[in-house]
Amino acid sequence: MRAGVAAALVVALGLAPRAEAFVRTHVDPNDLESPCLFWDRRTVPYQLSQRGLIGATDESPIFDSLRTSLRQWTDVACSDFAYEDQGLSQSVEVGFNKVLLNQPMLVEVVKPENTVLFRDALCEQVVPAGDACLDPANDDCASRFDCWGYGDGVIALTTTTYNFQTGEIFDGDIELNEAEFQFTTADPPAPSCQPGSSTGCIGTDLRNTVTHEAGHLLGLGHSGDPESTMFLSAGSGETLKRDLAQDDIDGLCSIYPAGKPPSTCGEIVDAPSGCSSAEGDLALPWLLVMLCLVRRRRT
Amino acid sequence: MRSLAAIAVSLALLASAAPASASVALDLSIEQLTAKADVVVRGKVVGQESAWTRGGRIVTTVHLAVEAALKGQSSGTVALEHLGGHVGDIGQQISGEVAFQNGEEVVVFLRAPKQPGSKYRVVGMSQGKFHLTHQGASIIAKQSLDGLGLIRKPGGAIEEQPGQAISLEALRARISAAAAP
Repeated sequence: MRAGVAAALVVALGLAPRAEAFVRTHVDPNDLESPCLFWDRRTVPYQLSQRGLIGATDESPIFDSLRTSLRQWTDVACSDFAYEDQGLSQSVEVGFNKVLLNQPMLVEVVKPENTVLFRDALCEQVVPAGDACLDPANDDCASRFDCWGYGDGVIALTTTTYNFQTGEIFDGDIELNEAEFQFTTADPPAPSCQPGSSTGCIGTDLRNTVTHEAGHLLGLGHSGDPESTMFLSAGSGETLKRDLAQDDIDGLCSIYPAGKPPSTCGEIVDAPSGCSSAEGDLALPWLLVMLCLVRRRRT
Repeated sequence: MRSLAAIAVSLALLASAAPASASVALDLSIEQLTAKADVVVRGKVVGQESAWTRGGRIVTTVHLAVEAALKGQSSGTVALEHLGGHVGDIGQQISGEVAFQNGEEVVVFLRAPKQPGSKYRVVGMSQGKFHLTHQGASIIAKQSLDGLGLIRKPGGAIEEQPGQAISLEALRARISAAAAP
């Protein structure tokens, strides 16, 4: 009997979480031994696209909210990582500049554009039947018609392009589905939005969404810490992810420790670091509960 | 010992989910996935290849040997496509998008192609794939919600936790019930 419990504890120790719950993104989502993603620069420029936001000016609350979201990851003492606002653009394109295809060395010459943009129309409603963009070889309706083509209740989507061998990120874009979701910027304790209302209330909170996405853009995956910005799920109208939790800060500073090179998975650095497993953090409390139940049953 | 075996199985299930980057989508139940799908099949991944599109995206085509159609009609091998993959030294992840491994056994919820020459697409990004694992005589189905943040609709009818393991038998029953006219 003791041997059985001991074996369970050995299993538990093998999966035991580290102090942190943050998780890094790997080049191959199916291979956790593959390199982790990182930017090889500490200042990552971004542009905010005005397209999809008819009438919005540089001072609009919506752009303020976007900048505030990205700034969350910049104002962290233990890291010198920064998102740099390069102003507004008219860009409607995501993905990777074709000039750079299979020419990673050109990335330093031809700067990729990291764009945050809203799609305010569904592709299925604006793309004419038979248009060339629908050809699978093109598959560029979203960029050509500035439309949302992902469907299925997807609210926001992040595309990251990187060196598959090293994990170095070349380009990242965030698209927001304004065609189907009403993003709001009101602060708590504003009430939840009711059908038909969108001002002075909280619906799909823009900062909650974009702060989370910006964490992915720098190389973080989903955390096992329910308090963290990088936690998997959010309730409707949630605003908790607007502000970083300690686990998010640990993750950022692990990848981009101030004054030191970015860490890659498996590399030992001074900061609490390396790839961790959210599953381990979920597993341990669950295991402890189970062990307690086993012990109670036997006493 | 049964409890310890349960612990080991549960830990294995927990460990099988892989972390990744994320998009955000509405949480879809098995019933909602079934309703949105034209075809639901159980099958095995027999091959996949990735290519660039002119739009600057990488798209991966997955070939699936169909073992059974759980909704709609399908047999032989179906080709489905998803965003992301890698071509040469460049990789691209559309966070939250589904991903497959060769030899993987799955149940997938598929939307029929809308254009000639197009392929099936998985419904609900990574929510639309259940990875199958053999556990003795039973088969466990589980979503890998890599990179997909989920928002629950207020007042939604979803009771289970996203990514929760379910027996293949129970999954089939729920799909059949949801697909019934």
